Amino acid sequence: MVLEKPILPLLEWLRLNLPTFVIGLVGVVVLGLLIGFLAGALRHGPMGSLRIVLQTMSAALVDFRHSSPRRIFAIARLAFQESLRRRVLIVFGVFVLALLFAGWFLDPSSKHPARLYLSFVLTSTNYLVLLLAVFLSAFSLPNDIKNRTIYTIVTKPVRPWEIVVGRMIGFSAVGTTLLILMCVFSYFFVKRGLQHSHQISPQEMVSQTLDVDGESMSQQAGESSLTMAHRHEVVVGPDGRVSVSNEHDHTHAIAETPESSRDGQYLLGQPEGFLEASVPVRGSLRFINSSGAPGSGTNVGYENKYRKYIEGGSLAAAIWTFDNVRAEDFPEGLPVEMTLRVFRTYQGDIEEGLTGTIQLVKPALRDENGILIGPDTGWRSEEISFPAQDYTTFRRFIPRKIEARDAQGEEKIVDIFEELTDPETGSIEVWIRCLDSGQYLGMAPADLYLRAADRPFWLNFVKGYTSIWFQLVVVTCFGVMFSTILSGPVAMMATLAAVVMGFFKKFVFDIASGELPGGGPLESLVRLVQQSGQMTDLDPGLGTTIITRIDDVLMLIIQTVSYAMPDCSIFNTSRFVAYGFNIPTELMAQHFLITLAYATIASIVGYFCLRTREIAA
Amino acid sequence: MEATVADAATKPQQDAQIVIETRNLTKDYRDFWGRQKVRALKALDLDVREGEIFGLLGPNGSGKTTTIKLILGLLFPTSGEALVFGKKASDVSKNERIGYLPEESYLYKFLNAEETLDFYGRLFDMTPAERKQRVEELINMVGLDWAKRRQLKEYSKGMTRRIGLAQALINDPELIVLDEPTTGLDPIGTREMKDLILKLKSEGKTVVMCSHLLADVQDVCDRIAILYQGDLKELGRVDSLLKVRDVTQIRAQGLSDAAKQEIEEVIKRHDAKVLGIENPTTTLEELFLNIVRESEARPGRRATQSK
Repeated sequence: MVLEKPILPLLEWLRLNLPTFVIGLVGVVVLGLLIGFLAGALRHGPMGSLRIVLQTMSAALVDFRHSSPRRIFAIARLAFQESLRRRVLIVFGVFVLALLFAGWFLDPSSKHPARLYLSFVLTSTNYLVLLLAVFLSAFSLPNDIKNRTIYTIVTKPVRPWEIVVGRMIGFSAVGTTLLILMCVFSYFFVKRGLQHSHQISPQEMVSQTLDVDGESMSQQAGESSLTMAHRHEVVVGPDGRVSVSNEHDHTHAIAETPESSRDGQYLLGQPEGFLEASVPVRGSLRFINSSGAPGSGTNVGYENKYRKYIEGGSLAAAIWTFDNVRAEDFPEGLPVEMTLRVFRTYQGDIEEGLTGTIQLVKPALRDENGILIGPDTGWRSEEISFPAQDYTTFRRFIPRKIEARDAQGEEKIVDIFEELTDPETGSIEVWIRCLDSGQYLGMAPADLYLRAADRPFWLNFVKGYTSIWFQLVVVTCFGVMFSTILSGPVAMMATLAAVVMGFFKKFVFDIASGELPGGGPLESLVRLVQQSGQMTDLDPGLGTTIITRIDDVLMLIIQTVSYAMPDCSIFNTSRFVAYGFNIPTELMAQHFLITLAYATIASIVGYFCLRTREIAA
Repeated sequence: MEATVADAATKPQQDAQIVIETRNLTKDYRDFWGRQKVRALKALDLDVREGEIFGLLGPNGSGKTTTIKLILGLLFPTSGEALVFGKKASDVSKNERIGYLPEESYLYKFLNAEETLDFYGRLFDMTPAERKQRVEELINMVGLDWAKRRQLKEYSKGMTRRIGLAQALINDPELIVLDEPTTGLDPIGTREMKDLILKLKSEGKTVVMCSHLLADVQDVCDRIAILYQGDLKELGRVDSLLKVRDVTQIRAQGLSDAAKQEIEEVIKRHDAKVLGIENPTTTLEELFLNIVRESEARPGRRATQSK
């Protein structure tokens, strides 16, 4: 999995984003007051309007102070009951049905079956639940107002804020219930969908002769039976140990040997390695350029500014520094995983990957620019070569005892944690070089990591669903917010628009900010009709000037609106789950805070809309 | 102002606490662009005192329901103000002491009777035990014990009306606002509703009801206001409004024909006319139709004192 942005620690993230939230909140309040004031000024004049605005503000404070959890809960409970009695659980039925049919269509011969299954269940749940949230939240309040049932509520001592928040909580609870059901069901669906087993009888195996330390030994090897469009290579070693090769992201343990089984065959057990949640330990990245001096890596073009390249066959190297690497966390050795990019200046053998090397180096004291300020320790391990190919994750387990040489060039076998790590900070460097001259390897800080002990997969699965839950809450809050001022269908469309915009926020923002070629809405329309290319300028003239001026205004509006809409794509953690990475707790915490921020703003806006609305009009 | 000054003598308990007070209450309905469509209520001044049953009377579209909605804060006045218990209509806290039965019982159809009352009970500050007891009491009071587990969508109109009344009383309110309380009820139900209103009065509660069913109003109300096209046409005690002041009724037993003739002559001598003695008072219906006829002939506000 390629991580495009590093995940910041919570406090730092908060420091960067809290001002944005505060500005947004203040902006919403000021805008609201301004609109209220202008609307009031039309009818009551500026002074009257000012008085009304001030009264509304003070009444709002009273309302917030007097709002009661009991009434919020009563209204939330009603929203929950309403949804259940409206047979909302049918959605779950639809989901189950969809999964049952999906079982036929999910390609079993896929190279990454777990990825396929996991992204499918997560994505389908996500869309289904969001759609449900839109429908539930947008129609309830307008229906109450249309049927006038709201009369019996607002004539009780209920504050508008309680009506808004109660609904948000109630419908979120409905979504949560459904989500839990879906989560449990899809967990077993994935488990069952991936479950399979292979067999191999000893008769099918071929004897091979091995040369181990000058002694010749024999081992048995063969291919297992075909299940889910793949076979595993099974090798019975001279000592009788059975090893099963890794195919399609998984392997198997031996469940039954010919001696214990009735039909005299090896039976492979549950698939292992499909469903995991590995915890990557990430380090910081710096570069050495081809002359051996500290550099910033080569930029091979517009492709991606985030990723830098090192030249093969030169002194250029990418160096990751990992801090606090202790023997307690990695008792057996260092598991290194990397997904590098390849840039070829000549084609070469496209089937073969480029050759790179990994080297462990004991770090010397350096300043923040990577300039050496302490004596070079000189300790470096042997170079381990690996094949590098695009979109392929390479795993290498480096055992604790490794051949290394010191400053004098003397070679000996050392323990990683004794000789190659800094005893105080526990830091160690991993150097990556490319051996093929003229070719380049590309990398970003998140591309190489040490793989610490795995977390339980089910927990990661639950975290993935929690991300969907965050989206559900945000969408519900927006739906309720829109429904305080708009009629049901309009509120639904507005919420849907917000969701769609949320999913394509970056794209919309890029269009609005002129980042993408082709101009604003009007200019694009003109280009569409004239069939002119995006890169050529329109003919200068009065028409073009007018069009671009109008576009500027439109784009500013789009920009403002898209800025206020929640960015649904950041909540998308399905890739983590599908690619087998633990979702970092920091990320979950960030998402939680974002959700809270949107819920707060939506409830405040909803409150003022409902409060200033003439219910019976 | 005339309204409040009018028949001061006939007002009971002049010093009783004022529960509802409207001052110059006006409501225009506007369209989307803020243009005035119709003036539903014109400068209404009303006082409702503690412990009385006050009736708002008028034909459809006369502004009765608008008045009630303004008092409850469901509508915002165009000008003037409505005070309930001395608080502004937009103040939510006044609702602690109010019970409201809307024109039609707008209730959640997917709940059953018990759940409905339980839900409304939760909106007030009472303990679960209190709430449970109150729900049970009210269901028994409105006679729906046999149907309390059925969803409201299966209820007949009369049953919905009863449960609507029960929800209005869930908080044991001091002021009860009833919008057309007897619509949809059969004669027996209507009788029960009236008895209940009188019972509420005997408990010291204030009741404001609006209706176009004159008989109901005549039977239960202490004072009435008659509205027509947003104007207040009459305000006063029901008995005094219905007293025909320039007619004297003489009732006697055992008068001979000669005596009757003599009396007639006496009346004639005083330039008066002998009327039949069968209709000693007018009915409210007659009064009402009179006002409507007169208003159509001479639109505008009318002096509220009875002639």
